[in-house]
Amino acid sequence: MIPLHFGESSAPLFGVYHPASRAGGSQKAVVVCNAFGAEYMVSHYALRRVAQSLAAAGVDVLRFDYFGTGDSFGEPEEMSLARWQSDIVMAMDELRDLSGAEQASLFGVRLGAALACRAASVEPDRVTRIVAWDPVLSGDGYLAWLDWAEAALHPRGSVEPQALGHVLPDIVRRELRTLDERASMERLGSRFVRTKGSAVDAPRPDADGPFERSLATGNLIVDPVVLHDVLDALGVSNL
Amino acid sequence: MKERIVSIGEQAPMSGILTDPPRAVGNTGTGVLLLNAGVLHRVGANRLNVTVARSLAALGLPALRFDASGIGESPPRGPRNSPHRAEVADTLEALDFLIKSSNVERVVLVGLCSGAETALLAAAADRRVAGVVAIEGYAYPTRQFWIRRYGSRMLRPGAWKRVWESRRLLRRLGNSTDDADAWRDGPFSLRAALGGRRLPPQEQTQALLGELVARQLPIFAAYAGGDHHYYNYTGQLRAAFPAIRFGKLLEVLYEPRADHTFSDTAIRRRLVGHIEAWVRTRGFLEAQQRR
Repeated sequence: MIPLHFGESSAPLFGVYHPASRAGGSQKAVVVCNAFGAEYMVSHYALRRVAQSLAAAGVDVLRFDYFGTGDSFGEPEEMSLARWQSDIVMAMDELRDLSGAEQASLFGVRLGAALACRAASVEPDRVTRIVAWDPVLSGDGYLAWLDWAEAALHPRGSVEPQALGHVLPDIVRRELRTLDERASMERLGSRFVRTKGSAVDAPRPDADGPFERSLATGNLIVDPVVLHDVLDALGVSNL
Repeated sequence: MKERIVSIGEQAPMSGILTDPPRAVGNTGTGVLLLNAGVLHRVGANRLNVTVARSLAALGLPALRFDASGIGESPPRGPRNSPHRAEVADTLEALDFLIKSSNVERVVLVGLCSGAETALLAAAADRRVAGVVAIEGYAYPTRQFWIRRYGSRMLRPGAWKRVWESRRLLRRLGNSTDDADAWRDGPFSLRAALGGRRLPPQEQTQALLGELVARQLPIFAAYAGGDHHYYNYTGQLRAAFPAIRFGKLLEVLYEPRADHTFSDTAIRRRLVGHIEAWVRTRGFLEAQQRR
């Protein structure tokens, strides 16, 4: 597990590289595309475990934080989906430099799945597969979910636009309204793999979908059954 | 401002990120160490640790946020007899690293929830700790706490009848034949009223805080009133420990509308502003002139 900075030197992104354990490498590689906000926080530990398991199975993995999130540079007010999409491409470049693998699969969690689809549309020849965990593909529905959850957390309202305690700038809100990657899922066909039981655009935390259920119960997604299903979908043959 | 990824310790090293002050500002000689909140990784609840680290580094305080062993990016260090004691040991190791790697002589610890408790315990163990920011740390009920909590409700029509009925309900739900057991552990127990939080015996915390005050350690304590409901007025911490002469060493921020993690962005921004102001007024920036 090697933590590192990459990207623009003035505002680097933070990432963690998990080198494949097999000597010589399998030339299979995965970039983890995080969820946003509260979902990013609760899934951090599970994604570390997923990355470690993949590395042990001979896959090079890079986890990273989008610009303005986590340990990466940038203020939340400067965030945008367009920027995060290019961050994924930058992470693919970094993983190629680190591992030598020309192609990578993208493992997208919630909003990360939509961003992965967008990145794949820019670099179609470099993306082997997209593996999605409870993917958000319709931005409009996701925004409604965020607003519903925010109202539940802060029933008396808040001064600033936010989503579950995280800044949600107007530009991201506008981008979400027009985000629709459902056609990408169709276009990708068998190159789009969903983890077992995954719900597309789960409308509520209590809706179907293991990620959503774990979020609702605050389990930080360490349920071994759920993790097994995720790893199953990320099986080396799928990458 | 620059950030460095650092590795703390030899065996199963802990992962951290050190934020250096901008060259134009310089190093004040005081560092900041930010602790994990529960099992959340070092970014902190709603990115609080990143925000505080960068804002205090901008004032000239090198800031280290790190993951204690087994949390976030840090590997576990094998079974430990006491996880709490292990967190204190990890904190002292990170403190040592910060002092050696950042040319600072003293350190301010910042923690939320369990992080606040660890910070106070670590402060007692190491005299190089010059101040503690304890967010949602130890809280004990006082007479005024109970009056504020239930006083206005007791004046409502039918309130006392409901209390009597809830005692009968408590006996049933508490799964106990003994009233005392139910009051201690049942759904209407003191612990339940305090948000299910486990706290050390009050006399133990009194000894800890008393020791820190005797050492003239400044403490900034922030509490939220809108979530777990175990703190409901500014003076509660002082009132809970009347034997301790906090004087000006203790500064308390009480945000009645904040929740446990200060999740509202505007309230969180205010909290960070208060921490910055406390760092200024406690003289942590003045060392810069002496160096």
